[in-house]
Amino acid sequence: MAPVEVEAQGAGTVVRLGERYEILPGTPLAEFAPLGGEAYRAIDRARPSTALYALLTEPGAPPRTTLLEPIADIQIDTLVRPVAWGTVDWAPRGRRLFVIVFDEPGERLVADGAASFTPLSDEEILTNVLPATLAALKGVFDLGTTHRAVRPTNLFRAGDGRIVLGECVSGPPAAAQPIAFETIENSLAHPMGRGAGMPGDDLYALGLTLAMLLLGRDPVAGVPDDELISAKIARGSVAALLTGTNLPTRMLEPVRGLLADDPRERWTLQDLGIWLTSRRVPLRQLPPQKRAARPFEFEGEGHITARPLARAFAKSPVAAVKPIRSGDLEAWLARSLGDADAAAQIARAVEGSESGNPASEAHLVARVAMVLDPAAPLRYGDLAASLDGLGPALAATFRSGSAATAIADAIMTRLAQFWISVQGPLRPEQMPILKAFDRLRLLLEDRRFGFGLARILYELNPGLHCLSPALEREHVMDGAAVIPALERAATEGRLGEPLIDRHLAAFVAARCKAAGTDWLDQLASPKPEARILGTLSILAYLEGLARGKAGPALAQRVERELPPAIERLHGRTRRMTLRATLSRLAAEGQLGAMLAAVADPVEIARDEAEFRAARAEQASIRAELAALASAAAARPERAADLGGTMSFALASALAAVVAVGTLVVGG
Amino acid sequence: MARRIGTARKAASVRGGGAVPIVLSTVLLIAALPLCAVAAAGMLPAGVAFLIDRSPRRDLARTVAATNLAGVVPPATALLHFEFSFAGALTILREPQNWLIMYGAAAIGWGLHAGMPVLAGMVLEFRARQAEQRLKARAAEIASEWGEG
Repeated sequence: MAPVEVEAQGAGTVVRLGERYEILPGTPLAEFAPLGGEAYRAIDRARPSTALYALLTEPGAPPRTTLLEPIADIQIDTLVRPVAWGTVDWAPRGRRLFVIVFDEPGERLVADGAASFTPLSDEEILTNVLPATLAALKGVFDLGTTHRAVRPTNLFRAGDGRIVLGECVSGPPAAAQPIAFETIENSLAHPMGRGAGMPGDDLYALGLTLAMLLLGRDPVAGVPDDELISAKIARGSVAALLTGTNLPTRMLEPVRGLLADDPRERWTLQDLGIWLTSRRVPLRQLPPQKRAARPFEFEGEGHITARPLARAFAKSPVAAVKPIRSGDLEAWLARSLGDADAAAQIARAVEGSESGNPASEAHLVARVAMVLDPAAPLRYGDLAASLDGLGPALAATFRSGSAATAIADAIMTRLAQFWISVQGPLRPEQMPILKAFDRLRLLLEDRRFGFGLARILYELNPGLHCLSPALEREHVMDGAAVIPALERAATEGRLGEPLIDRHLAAFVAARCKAAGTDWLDQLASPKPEARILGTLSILAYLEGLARGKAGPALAQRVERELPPAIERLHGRTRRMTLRATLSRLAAEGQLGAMLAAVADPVEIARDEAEFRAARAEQASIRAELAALASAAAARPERAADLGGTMSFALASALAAVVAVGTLVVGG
Repeated sequence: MARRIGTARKAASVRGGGAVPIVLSTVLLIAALPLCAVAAAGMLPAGVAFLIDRSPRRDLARTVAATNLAGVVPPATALLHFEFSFAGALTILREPQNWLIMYGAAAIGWGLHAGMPVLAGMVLEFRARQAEQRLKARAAEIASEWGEG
């Protein structure tokens, strides 16, 4: 089903989403609301009998907007798909919000993940749950992405008994997943920084989901997150999650296979399909995890594998510097753990770092943690995120008002590139990632408006709305929505100085690549006329995207800043005419026409030519006046000369007349 | 040799050319002696003007000569009609009215030469002032539209 265009108006008890959908704020649907979220009854005016619900997205958690269209187009009835989405006025919160409308999938299979519930039989799992979830996941994987919200509380039973996998687009990937459903690597990351990951991450979550449904409870309910991670690392996920449980025998193999900690060992979708039809179990012989002959002591704890040691270093980076610099770690890696490559990498990292410099030492610890545990997320300072989770992690940091210095440092010091380098030989699919991070670094180095960390925020979060203070409550998601939002902000007096601030410039630069970069250069100019022309040119471009006039409040605000651009013209009459034209166009709210008037190249060239001609004429007049002044002294002499000539001419004429007259009269 | 012949011919030609006016003047003087007497007496102011005018273009002399000549024409015409003889010339010169006409005309020439420079100065001054006003008005007009240059 085609999505609805983004435009909606609040209207009493009904909120309109485009022409077709209505949301009823008075009818909340708690059964479809995610934890801490809000869902409401929605109506499709073209299909009034269809049960729909609308999910409000949270401003701090950008939805996966790039997946909306592809998932809406999947023809699978075991996956909740979006049918419409857009931004609406949400009066109860006094702001605009992005909402997604879904078909109602039925009744939630498990209402509360922490409470006990009636377990499902292994037969139902095999005949209903697994086929349904496998079909849904295959549809998602075929799009080249992952679901990242596979858990019992996100499964529904339709009216016909069919199991339906819930939505996965209303927030960042895996942000709402309880830590038990995340692989060890992902659980080490901040919830907002887990990233879309790999299909294996969904299959891991499916493994625990199956176990929970079979047990009728969460086997690790009440276990603190940190303790659970430690247990998973120390004993492996299967032991940490399933010890003391009694799963049906025939379900043990798939659950263990799906919960394998090594991604190479974990069952794939294909493995699961084969097992479902033939009960054949895939066999994979993997080398055992390297264990040290003697433990490495750090902060009173002995570590015999590299992963827990890396985690301990990441948790205490200041304390980690000493054993790293002392050479103890290299010796332990080479002699006790038998990993000479890792020891050599750490030696190089130590050589490249600056002793006594806190930033350099934090950077060193981050690199050492990556060498020790390459599969773990990028951990640096208070940052813990996978590469594709950096965007949502950055959004969360911005939303909380914290300085995202760790993320900026990680990009500037090329930690992401180092993370890729420790994953083994460079693969072709990693090249675009490397290039992308090199580009991010260039964007970060640029201090102009439209660049810097704000630009990276919007580049990495396609679903994030503009966080400019004037527009944040307008929830602007794309370039076409900027002008109407600015008009409302101008009308309500919310526009600040400058009109296009760092966030708005970065947002537009990220979302409207076709607008080019000339306007960004102009915004960075020290000349006020260039800045306002840059502002006007991008606003005119955005007005074109909005397919309508900007509105008088915004246009008149722009007009007030235009005098420096008008003063570029030399001719007073031309300036007066332009002012009158701009005033009229501003009252009509026509930004594009204002730009055409103030930046008309023909008129500017004509003004310049006429100005040069006027200056030349002024110089000529000055020369003529000087010549007149200097000729004044010589004027008596000239008068004498001229007088002499005139007197002779007059005398000659007189003489001729008298002589001729006398001769004629006398004759 | 050829150059010497050419130079001798040119000298002869100059000598011949200079002689003709002198001969003609002498014949005219003898033939029109009464008229010459009247003209000599009447053109005396022009002679004085030629003597005192030391300017390169001799405007005073030329102006006085022109008007003086115009003043001599009526007595000369009267001589031709009355009796073209030396006695007739004396009769003409005895008439004070003729002296008034001849010398008055010369005086008019003198006056013209004295007055015309003043008039020319006034004209030049007027034209310069007009040009200055026009230029200043245009300069103000340009400055108003394009600013001071």
